[in-house]
Amino acid sequence: MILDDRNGLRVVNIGLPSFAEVAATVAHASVTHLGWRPPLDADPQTGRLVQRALADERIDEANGRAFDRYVASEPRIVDVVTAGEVIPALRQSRLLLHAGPPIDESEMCGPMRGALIGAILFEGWAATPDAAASLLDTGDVRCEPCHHHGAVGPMAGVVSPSMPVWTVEDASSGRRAFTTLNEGLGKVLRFGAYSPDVVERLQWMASQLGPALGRAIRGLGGVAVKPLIAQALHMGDEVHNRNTASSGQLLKILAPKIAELETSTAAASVLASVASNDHFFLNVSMASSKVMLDAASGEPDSTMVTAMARNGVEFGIRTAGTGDAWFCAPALAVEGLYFPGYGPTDANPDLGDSAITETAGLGGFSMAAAPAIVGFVGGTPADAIAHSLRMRDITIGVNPAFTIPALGFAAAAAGIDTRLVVDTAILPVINTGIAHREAGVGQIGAGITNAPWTCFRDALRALDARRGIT
Amino acid sequence: MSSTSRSEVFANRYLDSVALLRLSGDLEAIDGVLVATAVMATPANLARARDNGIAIPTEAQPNDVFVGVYGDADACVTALTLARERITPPRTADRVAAGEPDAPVSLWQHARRGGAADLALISVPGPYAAAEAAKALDLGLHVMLFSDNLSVEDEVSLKCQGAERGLLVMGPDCGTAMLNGVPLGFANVVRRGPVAVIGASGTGMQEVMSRVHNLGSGISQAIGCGGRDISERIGGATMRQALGMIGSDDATEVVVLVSKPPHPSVLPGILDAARVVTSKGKHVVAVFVGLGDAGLATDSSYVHIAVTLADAADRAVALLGTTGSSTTGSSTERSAHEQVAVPTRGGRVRGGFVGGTFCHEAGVLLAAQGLQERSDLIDFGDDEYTAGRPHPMIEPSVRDRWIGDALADPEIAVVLFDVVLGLGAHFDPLITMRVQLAAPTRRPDVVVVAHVCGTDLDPQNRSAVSAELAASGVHVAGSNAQAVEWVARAYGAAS
Repeated sequence: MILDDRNGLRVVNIGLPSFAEVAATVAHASVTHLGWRPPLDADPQTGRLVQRALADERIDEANGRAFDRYVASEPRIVDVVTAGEVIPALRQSRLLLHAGPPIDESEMCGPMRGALIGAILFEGWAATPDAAASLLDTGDVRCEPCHHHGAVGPMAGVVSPSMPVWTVEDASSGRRAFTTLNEGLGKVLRFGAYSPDVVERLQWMASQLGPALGRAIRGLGGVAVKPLIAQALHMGDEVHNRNTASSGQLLKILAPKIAELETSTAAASVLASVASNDHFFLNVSMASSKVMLDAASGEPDSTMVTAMARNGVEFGIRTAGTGDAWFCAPALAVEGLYFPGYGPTDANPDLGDSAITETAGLGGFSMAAAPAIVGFVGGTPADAIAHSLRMRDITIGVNPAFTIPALGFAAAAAGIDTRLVVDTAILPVINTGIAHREAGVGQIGAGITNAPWTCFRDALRALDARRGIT
Repeated sequence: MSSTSRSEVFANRYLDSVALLRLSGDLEAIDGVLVATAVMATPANLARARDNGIAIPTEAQPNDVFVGVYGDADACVTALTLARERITPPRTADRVAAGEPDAPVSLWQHARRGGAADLALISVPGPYAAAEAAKALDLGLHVMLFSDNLSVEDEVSLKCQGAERGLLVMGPDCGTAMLNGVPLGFANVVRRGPVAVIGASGTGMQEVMSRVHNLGSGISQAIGCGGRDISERIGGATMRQALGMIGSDDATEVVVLVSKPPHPSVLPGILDAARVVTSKGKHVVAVFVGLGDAGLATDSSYVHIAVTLADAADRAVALLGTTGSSTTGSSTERSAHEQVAVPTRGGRVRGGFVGGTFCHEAGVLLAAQGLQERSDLIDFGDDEYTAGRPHPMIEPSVRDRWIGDALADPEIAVVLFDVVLGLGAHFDPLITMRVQLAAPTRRPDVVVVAHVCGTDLDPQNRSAVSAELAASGVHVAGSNAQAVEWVARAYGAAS
């Protein structure tokens, strides 16, 4: 019974701070003042929408089921094969996959167009960049999101039928996800480069690197990924922008088998290629994250985010309760450091499927594991910890497999809940590289960005409409 | 000044790429430096540095840090000095805290973090208030809604939701409450005691609470209902709910109900709820300001009907004597038999109020004296005067200047105003009024009457404020009702 002096009174104050001061004049009052703000779209209806959703226990239960499946997922690298072997649509017509939500060819950014041209040249569908470009413009070569075909790709994220892809399988459900092999830094396809040496390297990867990795993986009987990620989080990686430790760990696992199965010349070139690439593990991290989140998908009534992806123009999300729908908004600016000679006007908007790592509780959500990254925005290790802690306020739970030493080995926050993003206006944080807006120049910086709020508001509205509540 | 290139190699030193980038940036920011680079001395990095005009050494190794600058000579020296400072000394160990979470911004966020609460006090802009109140109820909190401009539908929906869960919805437009001795909103500092106040009006509650304290007794609980609670659509939901809760409160012996007259369809329900309270051995005093005896069509013999706010407080304290409990404090109310000066001429009455209920009560009482035609009364807390401005209890200058104009106006015979003290009100409530009272334009023949709502425990101190007013030639009444009584007497004696 509230009216009982022995209980004192615990007050939460929402609005004018002076009222908090009034209540706090007596010792037996416990007063918390909230730094309340209106919904970011200033629409009172949004306040009502999120109020209804937060109070809805069926959403909580659905989120619990989706989240449990995500936690139970056990991604394993099981093979490396050509994309056409495992993605049927790539065999049926001239189709290329790209990062992010759907986008018309005419609106694509420079790096993505460049990467598509490079892929067309690699496939031999055209002999010159101009001829390749016109295949895109006429629609003779069509483009669809990687996500629509069980794949993910970093930056431009282009996948073509002859490219070698990692196959990552969820031991729990048998679901699979696919991703290209990382080319390394510099002038590479994923930043839009399509010069002859780029195409040559793609050809070497298809004929030498991919098959060798495939033989090694099969020879090993597959490689469990979550233990690798867990170890890497203890070694300074967050497996989105910092992949050095995980790449080294994967190399350690593969190297003896490669040395055993390949000729010494072949082994030498394969090992040299892998060893020189500090982001070798990134694509594996992405495909594994996708497999974990695909396990959560297809849960009516759930507000759990199952994908975050960027196509260089728009940022899009998907949720477990809204099927295949994308909820998109213009990508937000990246706050960060630029390499000498470059600045914000050179930057391409945020690009790539790699935000799937944040969606799984890694990357920016595990920033406390890789404090050097906040240096990009002038922060300190305490700031990295703050970023990771902040994500707890917008997630369903934590993934017990991913612990972070700087948090006292507490687990990484995971499972973004659209209701909580809309309610608090705390935006998912993403560690990202910055690409030059012109095709083929490459990475020009790195930093931190956020997912746009309206994506989450739109997803919540859509779920509300589906459930027939409005 | 001609440009030159300087560089330095730091052998076997490792800096991560971020630290190197930051250093480059800081060096380039030095005045006079055109290009700067800080990199691990790999062939590629050295080649790029050379392309930028920096002379590279022959002996640098990939495990070395290479710093090169190009610009005017002095700037280069400055830059390399800075580079040495940053690269050479050991870093101080970072004392990494476990991390303080950000301050909370939402009710659900607070709850998810394990924050427990009893009550949400909501004063956000009206359009958002209903959703916030609903969130609070969802979380099992009682609600006090200072916010106003909620729709009737919203108020009905919230009060239904609250009633289902046994939660109070105090408001919308509820400015005053005190639960378990904790002041909420605009509240006066009063001692605890056996009198509960349930009101649909803020300053009406403040007047009753303060007077009960000043008569030596004290307040157990004060529950606000919001200005529209006793309307037909809302049906007195909160007032009835509050009566139910107070009925079981052992610390309460007398309950005072304060509001404007309830809608005729609502009054019987309130009286029924009051009857339940009296059946538990407590007294109920009701002041429905402006109701009069004629307004009570039903039997209300178990409720003591008071005519004015002051009367309600007086009756409540008197009833305590009959229950056997004595007042714990001594009364500071002296019945002031002042000789109010007789104005030398007729004229109008002008009353400017910060308390809406005082304005309403003054109007009712002046009408009873047949003086309404000659009176101009303004409630400066009304929406019309508070659009884009703080409430006059916080910032009274608009009301005070209007009073000042009246003091100078030859057509005005009597000026009447209120001063409301308490937590949340201005710390110096006479801040602009004293200027008006001291103005040379003040006509000596204008009779000025005021009352001060509050207690000596309030930060502003009622006795101190009253004394200053008296010293400024103001007749300080003990209550709003007494102030109006003096106005009528002064006016009546003149006509």
